[in-house]
Amino acid sequence: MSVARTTTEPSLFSAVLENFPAGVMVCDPDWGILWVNKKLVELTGVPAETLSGLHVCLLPSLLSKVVEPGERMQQQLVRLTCHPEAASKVVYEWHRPDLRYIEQITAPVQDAEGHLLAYVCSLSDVTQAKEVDEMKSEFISVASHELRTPMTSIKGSLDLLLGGYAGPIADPVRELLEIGQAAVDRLIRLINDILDISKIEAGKIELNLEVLDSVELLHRTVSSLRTYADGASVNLTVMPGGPVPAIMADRDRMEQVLTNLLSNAIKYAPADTAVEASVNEVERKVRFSVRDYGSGIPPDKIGRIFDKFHQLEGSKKGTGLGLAICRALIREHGGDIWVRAEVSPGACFEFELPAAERVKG
Amino acid sequence: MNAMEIRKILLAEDEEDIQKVARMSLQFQSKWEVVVAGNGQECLEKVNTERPDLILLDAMMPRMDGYETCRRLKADPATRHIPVIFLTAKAQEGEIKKGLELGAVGYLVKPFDPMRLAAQIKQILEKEREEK
Repeated sequence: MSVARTTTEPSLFSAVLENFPAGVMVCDPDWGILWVNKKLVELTGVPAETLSGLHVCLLPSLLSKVVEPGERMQQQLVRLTCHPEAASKVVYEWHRPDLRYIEQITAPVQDAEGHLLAYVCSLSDVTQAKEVDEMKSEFISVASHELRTPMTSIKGSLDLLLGGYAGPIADPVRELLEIGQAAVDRLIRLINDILDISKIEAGKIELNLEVLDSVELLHRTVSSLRTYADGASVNLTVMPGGPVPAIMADRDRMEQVLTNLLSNAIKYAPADTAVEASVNEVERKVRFSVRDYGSGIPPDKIGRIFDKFHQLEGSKKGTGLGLAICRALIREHGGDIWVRAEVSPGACFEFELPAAERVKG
Repeated sequence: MNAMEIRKILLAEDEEDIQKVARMSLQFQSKWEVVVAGNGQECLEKVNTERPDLILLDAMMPRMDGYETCRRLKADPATRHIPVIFLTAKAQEGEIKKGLELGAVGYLVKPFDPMRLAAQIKQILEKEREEK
């Protein structure tokens, strides 16, 4: 590509922008429209000459002749021009006459010194993606209902028989019923996990963010697993630490992540060993750690341990989704999760979340 | 409503298998009488003739779904005092929220644990009473 580079570059770039498969609009730092490409004219139905020089907030009034941009577009544009960093991605609803979803992504254009030269916006019709997304949600909802209904009958019947509803049962019968009960419980967990991860991946999860005391959160989750740890003869302890900032997170989801990591650790810990949980502040972030003294994770498996359905050999009847859900939830909270394998024996799972503004002791 | 005051429960559920399992479970774990309605419409009819102390309501039912049934129960001065608990496989956050916004006091998700169903109902009523 070195041929006549200096002479072709400007024309090549303008040709690229002109023929770009998404609508492109360039605005000056005061949001006056400088330039639009062919696709943008096609999307809006407004000629380039009409758009040129106009303030971007006037766009909806022009559009209304061709498309019905909806009342929200005006508010969305005002918000964009006031807080471009917070509103960098917006989706407009245009009726022309059928409903189309138009996604606008905006980025500042800066020179080498960081001076703002312009804003560049791309506009694409994301209606099809949105429809697929809605179909996926609908499928999740229907699948959830259709699978849970027969499962309720199976679980209910087995639990009632084992609970003594029909009178005493002979040992071999009990053994067979218990096999069925364990399998149906596992199936229910699997369905719940599949629905959970589909929901997170489809961006359909709603986080109820609140300020949480990190230490209290850890103690509370550890307490809820005390009976399980005792049953496995594992010494579950919270390691002492200094003051830790609060986090801004969804309580149920955080408990879900911690429960998953702790119960995994307990499950793989040999009897009479410890599982240690801790929470510390590391460079203005809150780091939770769960350490066990089990057989650890082979180095070649570390990279894939958080992948869906990736289970280690000898995995004890998990769904293969627990860690994938943990990672998805932590990322949804703006944090990160990893496993430290260099500890020996055993493994140490850690995740970090940004500290909330208010510091708690 | 105090859990101790419950004598009769109206269960609105269209699946016969689940009707049986839920009824057996409640009769095994409590002294409550359980009457059954096969859909929302029937639930509204039976609520007048049976005068239940509590209604267990499925969300997805033919003829009239649980949400509409709950809305009507809460709109009628004669029935709005009867506590409603959803017992349903519609377990997504939005669906749970919708049920509670319609005036239900609690939400139980299928598959339920038949050995704990009565205890969970008592727990919901207890919590509701404390919050009042």
